[in-house]
Amino acid sequence: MSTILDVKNLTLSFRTDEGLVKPVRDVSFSLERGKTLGIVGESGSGKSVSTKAVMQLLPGIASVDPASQINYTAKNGETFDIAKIRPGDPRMGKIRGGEIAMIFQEPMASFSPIYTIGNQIMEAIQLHRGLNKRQARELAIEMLDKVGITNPVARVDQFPHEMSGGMRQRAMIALALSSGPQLLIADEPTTALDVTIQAQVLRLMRDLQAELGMSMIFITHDLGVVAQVADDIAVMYKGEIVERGTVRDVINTPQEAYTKRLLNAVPRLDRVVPPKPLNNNRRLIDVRNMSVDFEVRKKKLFRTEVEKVRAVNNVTFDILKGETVGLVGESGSGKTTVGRAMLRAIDPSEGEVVFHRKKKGDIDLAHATEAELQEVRSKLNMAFPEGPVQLHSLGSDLLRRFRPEMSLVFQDPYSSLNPRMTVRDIIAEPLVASGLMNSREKIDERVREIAARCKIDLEHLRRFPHAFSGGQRQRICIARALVSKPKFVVCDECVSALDVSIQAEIVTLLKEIQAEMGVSFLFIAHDLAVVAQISHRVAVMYHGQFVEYGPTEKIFFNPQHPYTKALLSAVPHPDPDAQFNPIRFDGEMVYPIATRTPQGMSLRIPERGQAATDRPIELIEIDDGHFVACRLQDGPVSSESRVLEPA
Amino acid sequence: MTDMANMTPAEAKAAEKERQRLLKYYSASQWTLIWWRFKRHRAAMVASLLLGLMALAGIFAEFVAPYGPVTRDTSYIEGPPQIPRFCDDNGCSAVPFVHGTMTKRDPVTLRALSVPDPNVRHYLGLFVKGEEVKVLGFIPTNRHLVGLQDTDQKIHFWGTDDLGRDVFSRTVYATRTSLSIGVIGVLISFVLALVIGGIAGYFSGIIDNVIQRVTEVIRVVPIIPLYMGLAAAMPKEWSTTQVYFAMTLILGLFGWPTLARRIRSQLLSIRYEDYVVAARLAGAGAKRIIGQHMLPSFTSFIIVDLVISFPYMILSETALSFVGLGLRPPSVSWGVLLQQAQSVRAIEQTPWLFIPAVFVVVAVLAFTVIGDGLRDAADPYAEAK
Amino acid sequence: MLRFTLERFVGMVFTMLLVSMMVFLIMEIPPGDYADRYAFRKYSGTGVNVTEADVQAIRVELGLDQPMLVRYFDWIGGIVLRGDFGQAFAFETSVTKVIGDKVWLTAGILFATLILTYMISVPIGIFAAVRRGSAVDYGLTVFSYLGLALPNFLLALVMMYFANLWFGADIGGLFSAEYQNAPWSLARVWDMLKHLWLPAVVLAWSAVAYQIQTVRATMSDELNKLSVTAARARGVPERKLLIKYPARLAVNPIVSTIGFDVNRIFSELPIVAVVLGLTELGELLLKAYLDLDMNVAGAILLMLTFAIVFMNFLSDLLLAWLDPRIKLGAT
Repeated sequence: MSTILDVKNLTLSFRTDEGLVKPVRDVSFSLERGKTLGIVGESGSGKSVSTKAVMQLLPGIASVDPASQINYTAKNGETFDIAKIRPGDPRMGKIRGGEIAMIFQEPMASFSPIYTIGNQIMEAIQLHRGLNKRQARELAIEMLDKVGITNPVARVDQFPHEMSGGMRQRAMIALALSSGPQLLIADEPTTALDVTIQAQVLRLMRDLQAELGMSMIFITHDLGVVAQVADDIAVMYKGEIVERGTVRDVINTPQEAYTKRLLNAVPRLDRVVPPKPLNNNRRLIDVRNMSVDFEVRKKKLFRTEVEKVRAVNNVTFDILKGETVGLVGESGSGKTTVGRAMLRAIDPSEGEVVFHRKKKGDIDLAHATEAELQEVRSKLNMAFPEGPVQLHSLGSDLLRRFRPEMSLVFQDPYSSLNPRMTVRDIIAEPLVASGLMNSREKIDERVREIAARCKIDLEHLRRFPHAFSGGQRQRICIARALVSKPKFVVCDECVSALDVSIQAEIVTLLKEIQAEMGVSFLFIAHDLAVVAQISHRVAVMYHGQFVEYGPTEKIFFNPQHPYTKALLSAVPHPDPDAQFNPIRFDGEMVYPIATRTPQGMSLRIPERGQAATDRPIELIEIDDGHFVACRLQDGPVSSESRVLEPA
Repeated sequence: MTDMANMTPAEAKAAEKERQRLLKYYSASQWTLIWWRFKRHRAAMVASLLLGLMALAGIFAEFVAPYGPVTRDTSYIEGPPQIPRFCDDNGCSAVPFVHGTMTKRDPVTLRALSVPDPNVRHYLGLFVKGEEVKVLGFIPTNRHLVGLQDTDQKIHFWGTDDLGRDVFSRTVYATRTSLSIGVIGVLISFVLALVIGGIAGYFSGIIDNVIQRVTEVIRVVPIIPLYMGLAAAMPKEWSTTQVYFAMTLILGLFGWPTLARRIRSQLLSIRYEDYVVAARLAGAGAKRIIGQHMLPSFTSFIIVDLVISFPYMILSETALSFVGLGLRPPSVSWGVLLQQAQSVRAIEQTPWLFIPAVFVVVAVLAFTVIGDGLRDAADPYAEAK
Repeated sequence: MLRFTLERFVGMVFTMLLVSMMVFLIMEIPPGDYADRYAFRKYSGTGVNVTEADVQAIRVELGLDQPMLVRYFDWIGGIVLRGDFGQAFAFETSVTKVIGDKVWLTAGILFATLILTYMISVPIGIFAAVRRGSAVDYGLTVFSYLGLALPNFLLALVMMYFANLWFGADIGGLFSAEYQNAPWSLARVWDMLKHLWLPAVVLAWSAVAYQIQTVRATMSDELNKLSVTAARARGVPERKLLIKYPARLAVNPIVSTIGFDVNRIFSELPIVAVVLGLTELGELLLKAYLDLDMNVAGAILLMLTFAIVFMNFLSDLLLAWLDPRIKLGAT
């Protein structure tokens, strides 16, 4: 076997306002013909930049250190050092696109919006294959077909914005492979995609690589992905490669401390032990038949037409005191909308959201001082005498006073902190804004207490958000969400923007706080493994509806709905020995048919194309607390058994 | 991380300094950050200084200008600038002086000409006595910043016009008029824009639609012809004060559409920022959300918009006055002064009458550069992410 | 595309309607009305004492006693149905006659200026963006600052001065003396073209300064786009890449601001016309304002504004044709 690419002592310097920065230092790796090298690292580790050097695609402020070598063996057998080639060398023109192709993270942005997909694929073909326009077009169609795009003859004349994200990335792969490269560099090619689409794209890439005998460099932050596609692996940290080896060696027996830490922090769906379901039935929030519509304004010739789009459709579930309910689903499934509607950040169009409270006088602000309690009591009780609160119908003024009882942690810790306020003021905001507390000393005391709990250095309270990194900012967000001692907190993708090691810290923090304060969480995430770590119960959403709902263990280890199964099978595990056989899910939903048997419910998946019964789709309890969206086969069922009641 | 123990004292000092710098940076508020950034923009700093000097000269025009705007020196008509000097054929002096003038007839055209008389010296002085004026309108004084020690003689740094009026003094007074028209015009359009843009941004739907339409219509009419139409309608018998205020009103009344559009779009984009949603979910009412969360981020952008709309006001005023539709003599503004320099003949014979144009250019340039500097500084958090 | 065109067309007509109302209001602002001025003009110097009754008689005769709304519809109706803009009292003839071929002269100046503007600003803006941070880029920035700060009448004066120095006295105006009142002929057109460059340069000056900045900014944005990196990664040669991807998109903002450029040019026209002695609509407008001949002024203001609205409409269509996203996306 021969080496196709041999990078030695690659060091890059960037001229910035702060002086010379070296984002990549002394990096060496090599790639055998026909093999795949995975480069793994967290954000800012320099993994992407180092491969850009191979293609001479570095930004203008960058320079390659003279000691660096990028030895590349071209198709004609000639070996030369790319680092020493000046830009504009004809050899480079042949390499780019012709011998080494590249695909990027953002499939939308990597196509120019003003030309058709076909135009851009044909451009590559004509550049490197010497075909005429007609032949190039035929080859482009053939390539689109090869990457699994249906109706390629029509698709070839479409613009990028007329395609879905997954399809665009397929088209990008078609483009990259159309010139017959011997090396493909894939820079986080699946990160922006949903997990089921990611699985399909990963498979496609693996199959095509085998078919074409290409070599591949696969850059990713996801250890699961790399375990499934790579032969060798290089782990990068702060601009250096800390560990190199075969995938099996590095993942199963990591040598370096950083690699070990990284592997420890990664949540693993194949090893997770989900929290046991809670053993009480003290319900905190009841969501009954909630639907949310969005108005889409379309400007017509003489008037604006308002079209209603149902983002959430008839959702019913509950959350117990001190419980975490996970909400998973792919982008656009409506999970964020459910969270926002429960907090009345958006008004639900139909249905009820009921917040249960104890009888008068029993307000549970466990650790409140007596004076504080008095203050809160008088304020809350004037408005809310006793019993459950119908959140969905609360007027704006009452709603405002009820705000301290619930809160939200946002996904993006950068945009959700007002950059013009100090950390102290940000955390104090819920106390001040809702009028919960008035005295400055008390507010300070409470802020310091919660900041300490969230492991924020008290010295930092005087600082502004721009002083902090993503993880620290998310702690501030959590402190803000908890300062008013709410009973219910929605965590909306609150760890997805963070690197795995920080992700793990935040999840631990949330768990600790729940144990101490008894707060309930609605934990919204697209990362199934994280959800499995923290949730007592999980709901799976698709197109605004609940598909399956129940105890975490049952959903993850005994899924019943075909969509849930497809979703779970699509998750790549960071285990090179694991079989990766994702169930193909092409967006066409098949609902099982439930039949009542003496043993309980039995589910049957209808044949594809078989006429579905005219029965409505409903959530049916097939097991203790385990609900699946399906059609009920025989006879009407009494209404009680259909309604979701906690066991 | 460098080991503290292994550092030389110098290194330790540098590290400590760096730590202090970071600490200061971490606890710097919005305005501090904006100021730091703005300071880095050297051109904008220079522009601010120039503009500051201009504004000072305008505010204290009575004191800075040696003579009144309409004071005539009949002995020096259309006279060229007199440049103070230290030396001449008769030797040097420590105090700068100018030569006296004498009247001569041009041998060809027989036109009366003022020419320097090299044998007479008039010495310059600071805080010399002159006309009785009221600085800022209420501080009476007869002292002026510079002038000739011999109070019977006059110095014309930048020459005189066809009536023998001092161009330097007139320019100083004109600076006040032109800058103040800009300020008031911008303020009027700002208030209008804030109200109108605010209404449009706050209520959406029909009101927003109507306002958008009206804004669009006003924006589509070429602005100078529009101003001209309104200015032409000013009755001829109006006093200079009335005309002055009418001008600011006209400039202000139609300057708002661009501003209002920007305010509206700013409001709309801030309204859906995560941190504003967070404030709402924290239980903040409309007043608090707007006052505490939206306005502070909004203000810096608005200031930029205000600064960059100055040049349009100044240029419009100058252009209108230039063609005789704006301020009228005896008012003095940059445009009015430039009326005297409308022809190519003026460039050839009395080029010093163009000195006010330098002020227009410098002022407009300064505002533009400052606007650029502020724009870069206005969102100090853009990089941090 | 047809629906898009229709929508924009309806929008244009609606804007024109509102514009005409506004212009009519401006015509109504000057104190006293047409009858007052007409009477003053008719009898001044004749020694006849004008009475209110005389004025009233003229008013009734001209239909000026009607309510404003009626007069507006009379006015706009005359324009739309008969191309009749009313009487120009200062010139004692119809507005149409006074305006005459000045419309075409103005159009000539406008298009000469636009073509000059784009021919200069597009290539230079692109060049500045590609060579960002270089001395050339820096110099261009300084130039565009100056372009924005220099009042156009001053520029016109300076240009006149140098034109006089270099080309002799016969440079101002739109025609040489012998063609000033001559009927249209090829020779006259050629003579006009010879004079056109000076106003075009003066008027294009600030537009160029502004558009260089716009092109440079969009081009810089586009250069940083991933799609450009992607095209580079598939081996597209640098020059072809620049033209096909970023430069092609950098033209879009220019197209979308054609209306603004026309607006700016029309805005500067009256002032520049005074200095350069041009005999076109701008100069006539200024004269009409100074005479308070509001029928002429209103007619010209309306024409200029309609031209801008129409250019906006054209630029919308052109943009939709250039950028496939616009047709599909929401308006």
